[in-house]
Amino acid sequence: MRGFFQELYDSYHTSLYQFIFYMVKEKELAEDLIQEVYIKVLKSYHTFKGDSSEKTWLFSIARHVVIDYFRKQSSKKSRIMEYFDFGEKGHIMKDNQPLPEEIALQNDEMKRIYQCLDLCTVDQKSVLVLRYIQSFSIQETADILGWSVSKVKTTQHRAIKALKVLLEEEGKEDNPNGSQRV
Amino acid sequence: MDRKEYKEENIESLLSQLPVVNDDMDRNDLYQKVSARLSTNKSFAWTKFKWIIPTFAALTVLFLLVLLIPPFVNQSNEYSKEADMQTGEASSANSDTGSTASNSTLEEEATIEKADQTEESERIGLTSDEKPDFVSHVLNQTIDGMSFIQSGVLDTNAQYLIPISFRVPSGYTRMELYNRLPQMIQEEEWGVYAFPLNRVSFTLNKGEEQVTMRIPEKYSLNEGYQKLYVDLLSYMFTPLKVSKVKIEQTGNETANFGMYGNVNEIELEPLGKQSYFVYQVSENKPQFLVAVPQDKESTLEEALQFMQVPVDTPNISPSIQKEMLFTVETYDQMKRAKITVSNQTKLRNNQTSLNMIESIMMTAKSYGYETVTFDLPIQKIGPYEFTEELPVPVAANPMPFTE
Repeated sequence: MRGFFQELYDSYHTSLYQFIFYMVKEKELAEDLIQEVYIKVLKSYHTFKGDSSEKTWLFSIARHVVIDYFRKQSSKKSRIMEYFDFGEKGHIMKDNQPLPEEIALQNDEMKRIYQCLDLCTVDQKSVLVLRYIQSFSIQETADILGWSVSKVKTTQHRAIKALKVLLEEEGKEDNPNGSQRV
Repeated sequence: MDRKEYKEENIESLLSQLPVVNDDMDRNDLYQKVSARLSTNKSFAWTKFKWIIPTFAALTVLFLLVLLIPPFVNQSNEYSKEADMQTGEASSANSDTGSTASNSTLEEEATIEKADQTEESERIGLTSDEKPDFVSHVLNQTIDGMSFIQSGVLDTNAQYLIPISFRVPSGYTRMELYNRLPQMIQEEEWGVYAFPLNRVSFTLNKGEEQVTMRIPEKYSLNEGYQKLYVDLLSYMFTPLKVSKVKIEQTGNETANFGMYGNVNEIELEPLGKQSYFVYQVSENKPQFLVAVPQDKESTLEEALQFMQVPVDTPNISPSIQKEMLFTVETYDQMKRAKITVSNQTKLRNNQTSLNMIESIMMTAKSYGYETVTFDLPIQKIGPYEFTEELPVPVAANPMPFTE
């Protein structure tokens, strides 16, 4: 089993960790969730039918682990919805985590885009992370998400549009006097 | 210029420049943790399921008994009958045997009756395990002058609006029902979240196509929910041709409506295109059709394809079978739609199929269609017969009125 684990680790670990991290934005949590992914993979490798590539199979497991996490979180939160203080919207959680070092070193614009990712829906965020951070093709993204190619394209288009609005709004808030940020 | 304008390509480029974030965990440590959790899972699984073997053994014995005993009983009946005939003493059969024989006749009658029922079920496309106790999730305009109101609740993740409707019972007006909504919505029983309308009142301003909504002094809307709230008001009042809701807040000139700012009125617009999915929190709670917004440029065919794919929200499931292939034709300037299933998808006359038909019709309604014709490999589902075109429903999720 160790040999198989090492093989997976060497081939995919960095990408899997990136995917999970950018979905949940918390290093420790990403470490816990990636363990969950390996457990599921090691337990079910014999059921892998080879209908998809090993990579898309692994990422679709990772995605399910992340979605399960969001689901558990949202059911914990759901009873908070008293009066009109519903709490934060289901999965769309405001990012209160300190910025990881790698992001903190980036310029303001990169930090903003990192933060705006949280304001997208889980579907939109999944597509953005897979397409642009992981550089998966549209077909690979569709395979991982179990969607049609056209749904990936539509969600990607909406996600970019949503980010555009969010970035412009954020820019406006940060820059109330109208001085152009370069 | 107040802010930087972004092009889509800029955003794509920024996204692809997001840095690689390093995982601080060592590979060997990770392996130790994973293998430790794997073995815990295994032992946990065994502890949890070790009752299976004795239970399985007991069930096997029970199954064998059920399988073996009836032939012996029947055999003994046959022997008794033969013995009776041979001796010509039909009436002298012992009482036990007589009673078994009459039971046997009753069983035969029951079998014939069951066969008749099966035949009847097959005629209308039911299998023996499906009972025709369907629950319709739409209100069809079948009763002349039927008056109803629409409102909405939220799914438990507060992602989507679930439209609901109530028939106006005699002795009530529509506005009275709007003001009784908090009593009529059974949040716990239905497995939904209600909008907070407890201290809110509505008055229809006659002749002005306007409703006044009075809200209490401390009543603010959390960001992210104002849109759903405005959608709710649209659901409620656009069927009455109301285009504006005037807001009056006790002690304030204007009410804070979050992203809408401090406002004293809200313009209502009919809700746009929507795909309908099925919402149910658990088996003991009712099912609802839930509306998921679609792009205004999208077509009905795209909306129906979308309804085959799961959405990432718990308790919401696709309303159309994933494997179903269909085409959508439209006539009369997009007023009439024809949906033809083009592969041999197995459709049964059951609740799942009824949910599909009603979800399709509600979706078609949101796309502006007035009638839908179905060409399906089945002639009837629930109350719908597919020989003629069906008018789209007037509202979704009719709920019982509670005093």
